[in-house]
Amino acid sequence: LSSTSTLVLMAVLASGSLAAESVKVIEADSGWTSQSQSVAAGGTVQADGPISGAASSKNLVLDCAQSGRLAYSCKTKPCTITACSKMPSSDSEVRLIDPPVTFLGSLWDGFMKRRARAPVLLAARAGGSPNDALLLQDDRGIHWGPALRRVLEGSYCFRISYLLDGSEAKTFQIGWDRSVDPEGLAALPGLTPGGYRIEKGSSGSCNPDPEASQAWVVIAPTNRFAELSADWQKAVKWLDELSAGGASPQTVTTARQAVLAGLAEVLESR
Amino acid sequence: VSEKTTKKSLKKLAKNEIVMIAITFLLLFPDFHGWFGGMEGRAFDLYMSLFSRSKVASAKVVVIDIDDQSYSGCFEGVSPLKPSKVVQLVNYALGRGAKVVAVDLITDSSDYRSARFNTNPGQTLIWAATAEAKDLDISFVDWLFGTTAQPMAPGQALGQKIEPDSPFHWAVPAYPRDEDLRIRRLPRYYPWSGHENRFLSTLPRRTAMEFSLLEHRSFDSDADEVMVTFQGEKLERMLAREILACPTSDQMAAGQFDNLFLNASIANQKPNHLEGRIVLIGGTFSAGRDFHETPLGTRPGVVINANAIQAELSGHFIHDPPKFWLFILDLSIGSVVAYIIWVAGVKKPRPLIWISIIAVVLLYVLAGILLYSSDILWLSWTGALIGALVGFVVQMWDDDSEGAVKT
Repeated sequence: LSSTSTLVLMAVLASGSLAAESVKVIEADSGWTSQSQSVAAGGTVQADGPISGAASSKNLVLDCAQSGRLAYSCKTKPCTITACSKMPSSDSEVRLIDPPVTFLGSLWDGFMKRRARAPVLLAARAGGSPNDALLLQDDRGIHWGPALRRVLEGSYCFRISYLLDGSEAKTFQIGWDRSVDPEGLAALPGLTPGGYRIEKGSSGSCNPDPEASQAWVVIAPTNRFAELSADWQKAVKWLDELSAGGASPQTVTTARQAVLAGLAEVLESR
Repeated sequence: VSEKTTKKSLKKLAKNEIVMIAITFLLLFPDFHGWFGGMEGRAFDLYMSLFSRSKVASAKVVVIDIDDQSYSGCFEGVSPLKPSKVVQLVNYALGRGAKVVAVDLITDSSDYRSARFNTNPGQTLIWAATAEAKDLDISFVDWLFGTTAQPMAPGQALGQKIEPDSPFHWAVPAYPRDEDLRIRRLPRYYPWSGHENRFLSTLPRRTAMEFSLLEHRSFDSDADEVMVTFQGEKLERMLAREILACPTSDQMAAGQFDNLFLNASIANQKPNHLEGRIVLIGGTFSAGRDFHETPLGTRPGVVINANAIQAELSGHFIHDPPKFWLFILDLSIGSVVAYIIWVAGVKKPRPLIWISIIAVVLLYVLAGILLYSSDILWLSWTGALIGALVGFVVQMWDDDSEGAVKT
């Protein structure tokens, strides 16, 4: 094998083993925690890792690939279960709710089953998610305030991922109070200037929130901020006119994010 | 020879019928996987644009709208919406004699737990609850025999987790989307995930039902769906900023959905403008992101809900028979088409056969439109149309092959 092929092979093997270590959470009622963080549907936990449940916690469903889907519950006392273990402790119960699927089985399932689109809620939400913005990064940290315009005061964890490839970059906590610090200053060491997606974690935790909406931000260093800010202000004015001219909110959002992507490209290309 | 010919001819008819049954059955699968959904949806949209009913007996719904200016001036452009202001709006509507007040806002903030509402006897207050579909997998068998409603689990309202014995009225404003992501019809209730024989009522159904109970009117609580794209007359609205007397800016542009409402806000028309009516509190503000594609264009959720309530009160229901019965109907159509081909025979000119088949399909579509216009059911016609065309091609190919063998 050439060295490149070896590297590729190693990377594939490594990604396979990494994938095998994390288990997807299909469903989780409140009361389940792993490594001091609450376990939420859509998130992952470490295979064979301990998960603690409060007394009478029910409905923790894990997708354990080869073992199928397993549902755990605590009896009357708090319990600790081992992710994907089929052997319950004395305080817990486990049952197989979906057996592992073979290749032919998955083909048959694909033919005989389909996944419906999830219904949408028709109610105004404005769930306090961050908004698209251009942010300044200086010696003191990043000024998150402009991206938190719609977020009510409180303590939050935000998840940041790279705009380019969507890979997870960082999480950070902030005690947001615009009357105390309207700039929303928080340091995030190691975060390089560029374009990012930002979303709020669920219920004060850093776990992904399936109902959270993502915003796009461009983080600019001090020496480039003035130049980018001027462009951004011009774009904001144009976007306001676009909105006033009757463009739909989706159109305006798309246009705004296109502008931010452009600013990120300008920033990252130099 | 004649007996032999008749026997052969009957054999041919039997073959035609078997081919048609097979085609009709096979077409169930693409239909199940939603491949006809887009075409079907477009036909529905076309029908809506041509025959949309725009009259209702009397408009009962008034919308209290948090528009962009209200959001900016009263709620300072931050969210979740300040509970104290929402409570003010609710108490305003209750204080002016609204019979049913439905809050079409997500109220999962714990601040609502301490809120007090001035509800009098003869008034009902309903809160929109968040909800999540628990099992989105639909099996072919369930689909064919008509149990396709998605189980839902309610989340929160009024800052509390919804339980079967929650001490307040709540309902879910959840709408399924078609394959093209448009919203067309609304199931009136969903199975409650994890609670056998319990159902979650949708917000329009619950609102209309409570209103009908208070008014001692009859109410059909059994129909399957209501037309959410029903477009009544323009809605009456009051703006939240007028009620809360917030500062407004002349600089802000007019709302892009203003044309869906009557021009003048009814706030200052007369003191008892809300008395005896349904008040729906919602928002058309951009940051609410409550905008959805419908056959009538992009609509705010509060407008769709208001129209759905009007459809409930006007009795514009749709019954959704199990797919199995529609399959039987499709089989009958297929059988008629097979019979036409047999009667026409290969010696008849093909255009005549084409015209006969198209006539059958058109009759089917016409029947579908009539049934829908009568608020009975929406008849899926795509499968029948494709089945008839495929059946015709297969039969002709078969006849050509036989002709070639004879030659």
